[in-house]
Amino acid sequence: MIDHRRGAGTWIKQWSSICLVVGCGALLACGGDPTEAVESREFVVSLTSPNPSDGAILFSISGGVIAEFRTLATSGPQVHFRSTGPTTTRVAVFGNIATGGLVSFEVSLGERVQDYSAEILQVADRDNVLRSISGYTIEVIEP
Amino acid sequence: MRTGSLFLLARYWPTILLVGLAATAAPIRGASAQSQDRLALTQRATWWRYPSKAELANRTRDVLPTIEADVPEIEPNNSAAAATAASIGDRVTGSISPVGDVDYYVVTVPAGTFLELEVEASRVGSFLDATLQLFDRDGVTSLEFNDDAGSLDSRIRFQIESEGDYFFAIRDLGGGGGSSYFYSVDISAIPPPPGNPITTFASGFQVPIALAFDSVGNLFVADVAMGRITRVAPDGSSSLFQNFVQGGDWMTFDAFGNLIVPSWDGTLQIITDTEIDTLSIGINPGPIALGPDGGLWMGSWDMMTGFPILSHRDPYGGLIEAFLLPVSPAALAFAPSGELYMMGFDNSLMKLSNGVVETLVTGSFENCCFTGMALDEDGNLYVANGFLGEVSLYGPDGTLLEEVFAFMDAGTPSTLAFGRDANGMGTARLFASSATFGLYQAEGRVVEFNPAAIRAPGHVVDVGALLRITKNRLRGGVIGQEYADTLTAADPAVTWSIAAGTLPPGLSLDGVTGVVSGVPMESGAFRFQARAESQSLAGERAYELVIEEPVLSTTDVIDELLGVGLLSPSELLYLDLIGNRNDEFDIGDVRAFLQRMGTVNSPEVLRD
Repeated sequence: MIDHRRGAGTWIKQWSSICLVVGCGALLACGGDPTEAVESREFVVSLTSPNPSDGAILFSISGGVIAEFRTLATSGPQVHFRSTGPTTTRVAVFGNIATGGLVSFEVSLGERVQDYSAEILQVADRDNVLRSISGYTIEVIEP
Repeated sequence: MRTGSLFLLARYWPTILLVGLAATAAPIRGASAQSQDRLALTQRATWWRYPSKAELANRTRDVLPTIEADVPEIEPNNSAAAATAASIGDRVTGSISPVGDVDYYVVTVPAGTFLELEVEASRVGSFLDATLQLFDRDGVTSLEFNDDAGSLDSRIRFQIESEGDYFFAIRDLGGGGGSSYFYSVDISAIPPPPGNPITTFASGFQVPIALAFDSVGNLFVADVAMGRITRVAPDGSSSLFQNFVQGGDWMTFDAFGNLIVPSWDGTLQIITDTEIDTLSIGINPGPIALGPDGGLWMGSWDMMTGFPILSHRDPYGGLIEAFLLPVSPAALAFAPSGELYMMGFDNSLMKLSNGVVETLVTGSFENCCFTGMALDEDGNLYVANGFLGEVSLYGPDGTLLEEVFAFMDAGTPSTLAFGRDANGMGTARLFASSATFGLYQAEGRVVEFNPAAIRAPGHVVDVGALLRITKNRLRGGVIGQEYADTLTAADPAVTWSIAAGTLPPGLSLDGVTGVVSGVPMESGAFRFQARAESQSLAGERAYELVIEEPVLSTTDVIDELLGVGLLSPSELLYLDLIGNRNDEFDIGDVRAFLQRMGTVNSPEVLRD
């Protein structure tokens, strides 16, 4: 004979166990130990351009070692970068470039945005003509 | 067909081969912009082909001469010994029956008679596809053979030299027979056309095709079966000129006195007494002619599309320009007017006048098959028909002046050529190469037509003496890299100029030294004609100067932009030249480079 009440209780316990395991797994999948503190954050290189249709920009960032960039340019961004000093990185971005976030990069929690600075070196339009960098501003911000 | 399909196979085998090759070939290389425009005005190609039996069967019959009487065959007449007797003026009638039957006739012919035997069978509904064979007085020696003559019915025209009883035999080509294989043969003595009598000028060949006279009156005969060229002196004596020659369907003397023989393997054979040099020209050349400018003109096929083209080349074979033709040319000849006349494989006649191709005689199977052409000083065209064994005469505008200027007493006329005297002047002597095909062998000779019938001396393209430019080719260059090469001529005391086309941007020609130098700014194949002038002579030669781009990797270019590159100054110059040309290497140049590489819009983040 089947004990329906026992059976129901067993199912409830089993479902509770399953949900616990799944929930822990999800937390682990989302970053490991949920009690572990976040150790990095993201800074953004932001451009203000006086011109429409910029096609490429070359700039440098100083302030720390940057291991990786993420693209934020509006379309077709292609980013090349290389460290040119202990805390200096030169970056070239090709694509449809406009005012706004250009690239982002991760820094450790202890780093301050005011320690980073950026400098525009060259800008070209989408016909590959070199533009004057007068009127352009570039800065590193914390979003 | 007059002497069987072997002749046409021999004459047109390069065509058959080239048509086959055309499907896998490359495009016309380096035609000028002007000629490319002409090429764009494409007329659809018309291919020559041999008419089918069905097409021949539908042809209308010629006007036959008046026939006096019908003479029925008397069987058994299956051999010369049992031949049915007939006379000139008779129409013999009979049937090829039973299967495999052959009917012999014997006719008494006076000396000097131009005998015509014309079969009527298929044209009036008979199943017979007749072949006709004329035998000498011994009843054994074959004088002439014919299968088709404008229709499935046969015709023989033959000049009888000696009086006697001559035999002819008729049978079915396929060996068939029966009551439906009826026929008649009209036996006529016809008035000789003006170009007859024909005399043998040189013999001892197998399949002589191309003919060319040099500037002192020697005739050169290319024998395609023997692979050799024979020199025939004005007195008719022959000597071997060169062995192991490929091709031989066409040839001409160039501006320097070399004999040029196109070969089906895409080369021109430049032949002298002592050697055979070959020049690869990137196309499969066909008919060839020396132009008034000293250049070579030749027909061929566009290797990519298969369309027939005419290419104009400098005296050394370098391409100057190309024209698309409505049909493949089978022969080329310049007229005194400077216009280039062309005989099409579709039996048409055309001329190239001021860069425009004009059709004078529309191609037609009825005319099949034109095999050779020669022009006299009045611009008249003598056109050989190898199928009918005849030569026709056309006026400069294509008007038919003599439908039958001459007919061959034996064999087929292929190439026609006017003679030249010891001073190189054209003579009123017209020659034809001719071959008579037996079952297993061919006999060839060069014949001369009745000189009294020639309307004017042959036209000779006289280009005078040319200054020979000895620099064969200029080396290639690279964008951004210093370039220098030197043009040279047989006479070092010359001045140089560019006669046509342009040098690559960034390069210039020193008119005194012949040095081409500078820094190339654009890539591509640049065609131009260099002209050299001495005090007494001048010459031009076509060149193609290829400028390439340096091979650079994206990593190297980006590294340079990011400040750690090792590119050379010439590579940086190249990048600026393909970029914004502001004399500096910058990010605009890199963007242009990425565009060339097709990667400028590829989203990616790369650590260099």
